[in-house]
Amino acid sequence: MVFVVDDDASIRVALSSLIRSVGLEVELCGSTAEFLQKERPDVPSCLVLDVRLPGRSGLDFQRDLAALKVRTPIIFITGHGDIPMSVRAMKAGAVEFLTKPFRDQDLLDAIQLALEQDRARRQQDAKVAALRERFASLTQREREVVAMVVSGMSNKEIAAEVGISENTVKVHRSRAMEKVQADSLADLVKMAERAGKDRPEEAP
Amino acid sequence: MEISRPHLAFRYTAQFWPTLLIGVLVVRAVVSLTLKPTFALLVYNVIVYFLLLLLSTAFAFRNAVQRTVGSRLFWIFMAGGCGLWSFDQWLNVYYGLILRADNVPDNSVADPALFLHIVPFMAAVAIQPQLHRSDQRPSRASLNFLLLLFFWIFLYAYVLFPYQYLFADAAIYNPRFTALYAAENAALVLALGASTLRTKAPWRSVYLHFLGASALYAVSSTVANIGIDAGWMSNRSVIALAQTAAVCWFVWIPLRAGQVPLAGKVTATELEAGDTTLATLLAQISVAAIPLIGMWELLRRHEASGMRTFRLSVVLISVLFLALGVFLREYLVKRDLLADSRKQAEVALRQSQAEMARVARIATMGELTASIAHEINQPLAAVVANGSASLRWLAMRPPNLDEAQEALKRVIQEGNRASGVVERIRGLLKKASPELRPVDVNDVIREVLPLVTTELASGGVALRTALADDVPAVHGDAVQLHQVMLNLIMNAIEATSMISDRPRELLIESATGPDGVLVRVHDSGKGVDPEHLHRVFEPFFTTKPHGIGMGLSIARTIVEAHGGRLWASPGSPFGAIFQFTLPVAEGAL
Repeated sequence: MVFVVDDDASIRVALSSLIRSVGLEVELCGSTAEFLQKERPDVPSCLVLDVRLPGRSGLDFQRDLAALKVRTPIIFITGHGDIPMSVRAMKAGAVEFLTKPFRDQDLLDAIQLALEQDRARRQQDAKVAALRERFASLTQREREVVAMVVSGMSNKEIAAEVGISENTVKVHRSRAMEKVQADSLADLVKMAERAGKDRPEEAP
Repeated sequence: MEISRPHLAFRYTAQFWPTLLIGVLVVRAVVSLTLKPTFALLVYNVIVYFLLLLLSTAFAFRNAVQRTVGSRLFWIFMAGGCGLWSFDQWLNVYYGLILRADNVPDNSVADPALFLHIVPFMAAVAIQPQLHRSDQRPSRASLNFLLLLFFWIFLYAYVLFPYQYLFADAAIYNPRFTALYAAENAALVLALGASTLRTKAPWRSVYLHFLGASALYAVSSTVANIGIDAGWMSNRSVIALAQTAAVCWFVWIPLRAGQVPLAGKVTATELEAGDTTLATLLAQISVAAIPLIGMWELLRRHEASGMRTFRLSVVLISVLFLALGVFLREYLVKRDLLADSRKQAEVALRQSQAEMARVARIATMGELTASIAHEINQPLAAVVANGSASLRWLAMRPPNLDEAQEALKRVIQEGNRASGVVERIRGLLKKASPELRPVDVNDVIREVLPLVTTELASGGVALRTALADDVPAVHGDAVQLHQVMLNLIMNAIEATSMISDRPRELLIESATGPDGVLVRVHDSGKGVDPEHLHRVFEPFFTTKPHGIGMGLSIARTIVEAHGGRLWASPGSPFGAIFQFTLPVAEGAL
């Protein structure tokens, strides 16, 4: 799904036709507010955004979206793009910065790339979500033990710390590894790291 | 042979009158030279002469009525001269054919009429439709004519009148009339000769015919008069034939003028002050010459005292009239010169104002390059995108023709949009004199706004418009009103971009008020210092670091030239309001 945000209706319509001609779905918005109000389906998407918009500029809106944790990849289009502007956009994570009038292939390539990125991110997010679900199924004690294992403590040290026997620690540890489907200690460390950060707050 | 018909018709009208005139002349010659001098022959000759003169009067009059042959005054004078001449000949017809008198009596009005018919011709020559624009003014031309008339009446009254009426003496009167009439004719021929040399085509051909006819008449009439005085002149002689030929030629002058395009425009640059002063000088010399003649008269002791008293009275009255005429002429010349110079000054002022406004417009356009580039680039981007999309729709298997067609339609639409933008900008840049027509103020505002979108965006200014729907049209120049709006909006943006403690806002309103249409530009900017509220419209007054202070001054000049008012007032609670009124175009309500 491609979203186009441009205040110029004729540009919107032209881009819509171009994007639909390669078989992609497109949604048109006359303003950033309209984009925020639109229902965004849970499919790989990208945003084609005009830099010059009434009110806040496209670059400002890029920041707003980041603050809102909306991670739809952005392709900027502008009538008069200068280098500092494009650098700023790209640093903030834009996929592409195109100056009007642009070659159709450049835009379509950028859209494909953005959709690919979004798809990959979505898969990644889905994996992390599954992992977190698995970690969530651990009991309080198991979680405590895993946290200490990951931080590098030995079973003995953990037993001393928590005040249980070393054997009980081993039981908790192997249960936890089974629950999160970790094959080895290294695997568990990696999984805990992945589940711990990048918490997608957007996910339901 | 359908095609050749109009051509034949043209040849027929073009050749008809010359053929007829020559025919009349040939018949006149054959009849006069072969038949015996009977009363019937006299009747024939006198009537032909009279009818020819009537004809020339009629044609000159026709040219005066139809404007197509150039100077109307020229033909009025020609018709006047020919008319007076016809009148003189009518007296010949009356005395000779109706009263059967041997001769027209010397004391009739025939001789003064004959004598004075040359004067309108002289006045016509003085007009010189292609040379003296200043003398083509009816007031001046009539005055020239009156001066000429006074002068020749004076000569007539001084030289001939005493011997015609007071001390009637044919022996003195006749040779004197012959001499003075010859002198008058010679003066006309000389004036015509000089004028013909200076006259350019197409009037030259008219002047050449006028010169030829006058010269032929001058010679033939002088010889005829000598002949009459000496007693050998007759209607059968070659001289009388030459006179008739001259009259035929006079008929031809207005006809010839109808064949050449004379209605050419005379430009103001052909106004020749030097000629005017020469004419004045001649008039002054003649005024001075008359008292000299008077003094000479005083010294002549052998004249009868009645004669002397009469002549001195004539001298004094003539001096009075000529002096009055000269003064009046001088007054008119000065008045016209003054009016001309004032008009030129006004034109120059208007030109410099227009040029100044254009320079200011170009300067504004310079500030607006980013907006303009965007305005043109936007439709071009749409053209490219639509074109590419169309190719892609066509390349599909099977091609989606509907989508391709829609995209191509939009290509055309956007191309037109781009050219519209270029057209508007060219309008703002072009060097054109103001063009007044009904203008919708709302359109002016809407057309200017796209040019300032970049400035609004980069200044972070939020624009609001409140345009009344039913604003009547104003009578004005759209380009200049664009300029006023651009100037006010750019000033407002600049004023608001300096503030940071409140929203940057710009409100543009239009409304109908008691003074016509009201346009108001309200900004939330830093406002105008109350003591500067009036000074901001002064030329070269500026509060901007890089301004030259001409924008508002020019804007006010433009609004006032449209019959409106432009003023500034403090905004509430902050900012400034610049507003102007424009009177409603007639018929727009």
